[in-house]
Amino acid sequence: MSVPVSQAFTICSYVIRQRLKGNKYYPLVLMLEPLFRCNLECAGCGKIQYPEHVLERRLTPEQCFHAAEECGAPVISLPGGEPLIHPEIKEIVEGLVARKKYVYLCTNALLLKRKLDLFTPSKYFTISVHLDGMEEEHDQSVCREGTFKNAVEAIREALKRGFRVTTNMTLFEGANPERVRAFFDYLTELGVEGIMLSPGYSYSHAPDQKHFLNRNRTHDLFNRILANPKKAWQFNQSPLFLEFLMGHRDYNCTPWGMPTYNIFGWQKPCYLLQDGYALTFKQLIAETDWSHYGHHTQNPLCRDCMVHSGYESTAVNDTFGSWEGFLRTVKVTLFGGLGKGYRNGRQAELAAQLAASGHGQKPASACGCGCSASEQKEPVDAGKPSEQKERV
Amino acid sequence: MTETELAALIEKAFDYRGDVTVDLKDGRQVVGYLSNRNLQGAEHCREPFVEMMIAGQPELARICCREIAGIRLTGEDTAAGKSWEEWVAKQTTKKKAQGKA
Repeated sequence: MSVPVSQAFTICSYVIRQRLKGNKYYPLVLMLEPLFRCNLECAGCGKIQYPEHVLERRLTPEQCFHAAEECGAPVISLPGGEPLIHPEIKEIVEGLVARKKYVYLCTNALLLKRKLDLFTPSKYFTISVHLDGMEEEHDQSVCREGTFKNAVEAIREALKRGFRVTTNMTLFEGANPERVRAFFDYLTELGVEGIMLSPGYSYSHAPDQKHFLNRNRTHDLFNRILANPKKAWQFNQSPLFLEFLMGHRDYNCTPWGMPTYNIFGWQKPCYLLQDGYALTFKQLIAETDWSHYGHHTQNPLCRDCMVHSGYESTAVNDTFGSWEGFLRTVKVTLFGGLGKGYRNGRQAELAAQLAASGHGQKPASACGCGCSASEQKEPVDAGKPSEQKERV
Repeated sequence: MTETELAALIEKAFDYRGDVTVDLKDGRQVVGYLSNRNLQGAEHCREPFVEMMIAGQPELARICCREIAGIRLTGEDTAAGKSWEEWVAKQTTKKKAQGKA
């Protein structure tokens, strides 16, 4: 885990305070979408399909500060749309940092190099660049050639100027584990602080419905990618969440852990599903029937979702809510061993599920011998990502 | 129109990624993006309502469901024609054209 100690301490003390207060519905990360307009049109994204007059709207800095104060989350993620298009993004970031919020500006980096002068390096401010893989995979994923090169150039410049820089990556059906591992090596060499991972999820408004992952395939893919991780790889997220993606831990969704606020209001129930909006955060919590969401509820919309916005806060709660979760987090953070030590439990179950489902090979870690998942690869053609997707 | 029919119509309009026209019982029409609906009512508004974002108006417009006579999907569907397959086809055509040039 590559989060600075001060940030880890802030989150830890915040969670402990909430638990001592007996507050079950507390947010960890506010997903603050200041606009929907983007300068890319990725096939996997349903956030930008709105009429022109909707795309023209933006949250004002004051609305952003009000949302931040209203929900009280210690971390604020600024996705979109593309936040660097927002003419007042400087004021928004400065205002949130002044409130001692840990701000993650999620950008495709097309404008980053040009706009770096707007910002000042701070422990409270991280630039999180969207990169879905090496050049070929990323440019295909965002539907525009040249985006990868542009982003890498901007990352180098941001690092040179002393900014905290992470990357965020969404993995879709057909991802090649070997290529992903090579990509992690590349990012490590590049010098980013950490990598954030999430499986793509087929939310109703995403136009590319076909290439999202179901649950078993998510486990399989993440086992292949993360088994025997290199020590140098730094992930900017909870190790328990990564083990959840690998199928070693079972969690239910805590959608209120990462609430979304945008020009329509507080989105019910989560970042991906749009089941309406509430005027205030208090109303969001009070009016949403939370028992209706999460994969344990058998809600078909939630069946395959393992996205960080629903499950990472569950993992963080596990860290601070159980001795097992706490000790596991400390152990993996300090000594490594992600995904190790589960062979008599969840891994065996996972292996059986994968075998029964008839697709994918048994994850290497399920055999218990400690061999690398990456050595048991499927015969995929890394040079033709679109065909990989077609084939599934 | 029955309550069930109206609810289905509202749901369809809520899922639509373009502007809609809401015909009111008093003969007026409201054109905009239907961004929210609450058919159970909420703490701040007990009556079922829809919310619309109207071009040029800063605030969301709230309309009580009992005032609605009908809803039509009149604006362009902004999600249409943007599938992965269509993008791949477009790229293939573009690359072929570049190869010929």
